[in-house]
Amino acid sequence: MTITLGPLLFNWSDEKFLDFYSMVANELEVSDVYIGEVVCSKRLQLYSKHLDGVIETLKRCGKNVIFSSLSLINSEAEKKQQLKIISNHDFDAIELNDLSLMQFVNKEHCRIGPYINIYNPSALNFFINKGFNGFTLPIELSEATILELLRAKKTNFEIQVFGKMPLAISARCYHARSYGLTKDSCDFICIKDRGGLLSKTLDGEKYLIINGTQTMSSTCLNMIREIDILYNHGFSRFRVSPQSENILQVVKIFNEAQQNKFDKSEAYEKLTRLMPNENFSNGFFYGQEGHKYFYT
Amino acid sequence: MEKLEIVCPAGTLSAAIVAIDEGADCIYFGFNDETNARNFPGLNFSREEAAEAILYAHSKNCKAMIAINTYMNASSENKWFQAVDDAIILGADAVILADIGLLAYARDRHPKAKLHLSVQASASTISNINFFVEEFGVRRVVLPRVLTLGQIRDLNNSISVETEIFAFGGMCPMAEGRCYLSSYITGKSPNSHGVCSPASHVKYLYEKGELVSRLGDFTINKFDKNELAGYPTLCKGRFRINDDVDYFFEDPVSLNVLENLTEVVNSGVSALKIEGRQRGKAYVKEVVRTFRKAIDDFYNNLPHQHANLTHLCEGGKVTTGAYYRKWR
Repeated sequence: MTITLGPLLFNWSDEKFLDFYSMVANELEVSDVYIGEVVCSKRLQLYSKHLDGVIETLKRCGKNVIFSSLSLINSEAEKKQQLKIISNHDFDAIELNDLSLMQFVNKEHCRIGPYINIYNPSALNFFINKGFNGFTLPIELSEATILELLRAKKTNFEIQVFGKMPLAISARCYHARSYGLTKDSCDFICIKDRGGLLSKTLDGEKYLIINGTQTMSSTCLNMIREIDILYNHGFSRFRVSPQSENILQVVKIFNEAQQNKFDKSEAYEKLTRLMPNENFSNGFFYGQEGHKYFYT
Repeated sequence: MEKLEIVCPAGTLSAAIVAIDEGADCIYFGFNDETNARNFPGLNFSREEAAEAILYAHSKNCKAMIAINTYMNASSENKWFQAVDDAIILGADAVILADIGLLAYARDRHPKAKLHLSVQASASTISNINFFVEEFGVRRVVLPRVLTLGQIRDLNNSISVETEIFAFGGMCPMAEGRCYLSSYITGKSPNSHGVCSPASHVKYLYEKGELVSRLGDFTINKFDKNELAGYPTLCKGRFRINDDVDYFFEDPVSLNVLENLTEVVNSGVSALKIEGRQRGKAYVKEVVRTFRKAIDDFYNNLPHQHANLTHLCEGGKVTTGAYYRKWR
């Protein structure tokens, strides 16, 4: 069983970005680290200069470094930008989040990311026949669907088990829009909100988080009590998505729980105490509303 | 130059007949289950109604396409396979698909069938489109609503297949097929269930002199007496960020490209799609008639003089959406 660190989805300053990956390299107990800009091609220009250094540090500390591609490639320029990064850096593998890159990559070193729709065995088999052997499943899949996929093929599956959930992507930048700007004139305003921008309902309830062109859950996915079920079904890779706080402790709790140092309900309680202001959710797994938590 | 084709929505057999009579070049519809992305109660076609619609369309020189554009349920793929088989047997001129597993099935089982790529597949680049063309022989791509007309023109100059774009009606601000907001809020998603913000989860309440629209557990909007209350689509409500209240994702608004026909034609698309399978016959009649006249006038070099469709638009407002950069 492996805990992996998903790609950083937020736009952080150079300093915070470098500090974070230095911490990941030196302290975080994960085997695989996904790195890359999934949300916005404009952000990639900001920190691509740091990529070589970060990759080298991560590798020196024994991490596998996997490039995670843009989730919505909208132009030839963006496609070329992605291919250039893939060819200019020494990644251990590539995670494809948009089919635009499919014909240009070596499938054996590629995983299919969570933004490519695999909902059934037929779609899974198509990609397996193309030579792909790793799959991070879409966030909204239920246990029933996951089981059918496992029944079809016991392959190298991964799924996000912790963190804010990416729910939608757009050509429009809601972050810029909420500051009265447009995507073209955004001034990288999203850098101001290191955990995204929270929208609330008119009743004051937490609704969704705006993260540039991406829309995320305001709840925090927490599947610590479900990872045994997934493991017993044959899942071996569990993704934690980077947050601005507590990631070290979160990964520690997941690791200790999977080593059976304490049971999963206790682990859940530890996470609750660690993040008392978070609303946890796991509804997608049970085929229900994704924002809800089901304590089964 | 081929004349732009008008592709018209049919939620019911009577809407199909109206669309055909008003001069649709093509109608599109779905079967009455979760195989199509407008899986609403009381809508869509039994196999018998589909047969009747196709016969009537063909008798009037109109094409008929069947949308089977949700993602197959992992434990009941056969339902989607059967829908494709039936669509082909019934004589549909094309099937509109998004799921890679279903595209693979259709290509293998019905190699001569005309496959269109649904907007739900969200293919927005040359290489993404070429992937679907090379793997599955897709003949037309319905473009996702994320591209500008300039980008669409560049695309059309570089690909070998036809493209279709949305021209009128309700509009997703998110990239279609990659949006899990509805299942996050209601448990029902466009990809799996063919619904977004389903009516089964909508409630209207009166609170302190305001009409409150709710979807699932969330308030989507509040309207005072003087406001027109809209449907609580989850991304078209009013929300609060810090101290501001606004339509942060999208206003209640409908797409309309009639004012921009010259640029649309110059972008090289083959067909214009009218959204609205969930709308009634009156909507279909008026929109199709207006588009028929506008397109015919355009090719006959007649002055631009078409009816106003604003009253059929969400919130009484129109947009050209992502077709111009300013929308972003």
